[in-house]
Amino acid sequence: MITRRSPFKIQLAVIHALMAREMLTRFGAFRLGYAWALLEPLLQILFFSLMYAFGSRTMVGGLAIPVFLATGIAPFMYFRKVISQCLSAVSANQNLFLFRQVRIFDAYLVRFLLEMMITFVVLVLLIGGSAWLGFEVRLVSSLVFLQAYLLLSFFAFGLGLTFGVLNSLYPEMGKLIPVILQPLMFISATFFTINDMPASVQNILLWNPLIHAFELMRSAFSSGYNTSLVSFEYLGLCTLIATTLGMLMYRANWRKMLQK
Amino acid sequence: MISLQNVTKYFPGKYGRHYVLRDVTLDLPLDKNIGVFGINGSGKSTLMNLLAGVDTPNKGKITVKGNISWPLGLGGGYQGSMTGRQNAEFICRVYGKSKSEIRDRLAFIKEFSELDKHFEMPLKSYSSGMRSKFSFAVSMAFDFDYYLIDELTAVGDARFKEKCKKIFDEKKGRANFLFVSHNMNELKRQCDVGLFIKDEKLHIFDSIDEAISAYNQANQIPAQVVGTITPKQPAAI
Repeated sequence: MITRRSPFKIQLAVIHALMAREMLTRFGAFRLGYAWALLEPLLQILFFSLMYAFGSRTMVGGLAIPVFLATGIAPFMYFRKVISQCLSAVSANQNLFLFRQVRIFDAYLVRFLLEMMITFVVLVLLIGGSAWLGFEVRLVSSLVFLQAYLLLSFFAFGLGLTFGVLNSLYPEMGKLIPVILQPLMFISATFFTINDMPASVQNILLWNPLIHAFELMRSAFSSGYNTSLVSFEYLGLCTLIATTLGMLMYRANWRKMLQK
Repeated sequence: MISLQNVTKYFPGKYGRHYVLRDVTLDLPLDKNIGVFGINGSGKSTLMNLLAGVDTPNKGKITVKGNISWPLGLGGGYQGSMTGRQNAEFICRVYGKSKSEIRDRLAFIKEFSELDKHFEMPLKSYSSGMRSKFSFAVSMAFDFDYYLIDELTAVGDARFKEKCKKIFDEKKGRANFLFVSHNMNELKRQCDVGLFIKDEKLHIFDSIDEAISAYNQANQIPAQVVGTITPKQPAAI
């Protein structure tokens, strides 16, 4: 007899199946295999660390260089990766929607969850590794770090979902969005802290929720870090708006996306 | 039990809506195997997708009581860069099979498809014959109340065909089939009733022969010509 599964069980099974498949298609074909999931972002961060080493700076805003990068450029690359993964989520999984258990949303969700887990491990490795190497690392509040990381994650997912839906309806978006994301790196407090900027510039830059996320993450590693300019409230509000928009866009368009 | 209530399905296009089904109300018989006819582009595959719950009607409702398969065919659901085993494993996981169940099913697929070491090789390296053997084996590895079979005819040597026929007969006691095929002889052998898609409507015929003659009439093929063109269709499935 065929037994009925509960929707929750089906959802879990689909996430598990897609996750295993995603890992396989992304890393399975390489030598070293799944290790590339961690090696790829770690190598990128190492490259940036070397740049700073040549610039002979050892501290930025009271943080050791590796910690500063792990709370700036690393989460920014994560943010960008979530969006680019969401942009191609539907086209890469198109032939799987033949199974009615697999919904388009699952394709987005799985890519996001995978990226979120990989980056978390990478950040822990980066910060733990730099402490091990002798840099000064002091974890003041792991909860602040986690909260900022989760808000940043869902902010990225909300935007990724919005852009992903737009991209599958209007494929031109796929060319436009990476172009916009590139300069965003330089105004998101990845290479500087917002506290070092002149006041007139601060007012403009602070509209960018990414700055709030990165600065709050930094405050988790330094007890005296100045967070008077940034707030969890603004970051949370932006995350709420982004995820709501993403889900509304998805809800309104998923049938249309299926017929592509 | 499959019932359609006022089902309308269209695809939006540049030059207005293309209707596939318009206000169709129909109950499909419980205990019959159904052959689906229609000229190319008349909506056979769309109907399959609607029944499988992959696509949704623009208006109306489709109720399916019982477990229905995904549209079983050659192409969909597989990824070329993954091996046969990995592809099959993915489907098992989607259907929430436990580790031991997955092992059993993979063993069945490997044995039935006769792929041997090719089972561990990427799907894109398969010949078309191997591919259809593989698709067929995967389709038969799961238990459903309704199997939606879209142009998936058995290929290979006589022995393999015999094997396919046997497993079909075995399943027929427990499950029903919906076939889409252009192979009339095969439909004649496998199906009890015919479903004919024409002019945005579904016409159901109580016997398969009636459905075939209606289909031929719509295609304007005189009956005897059909006989001479396809005197020896491969004895599929």
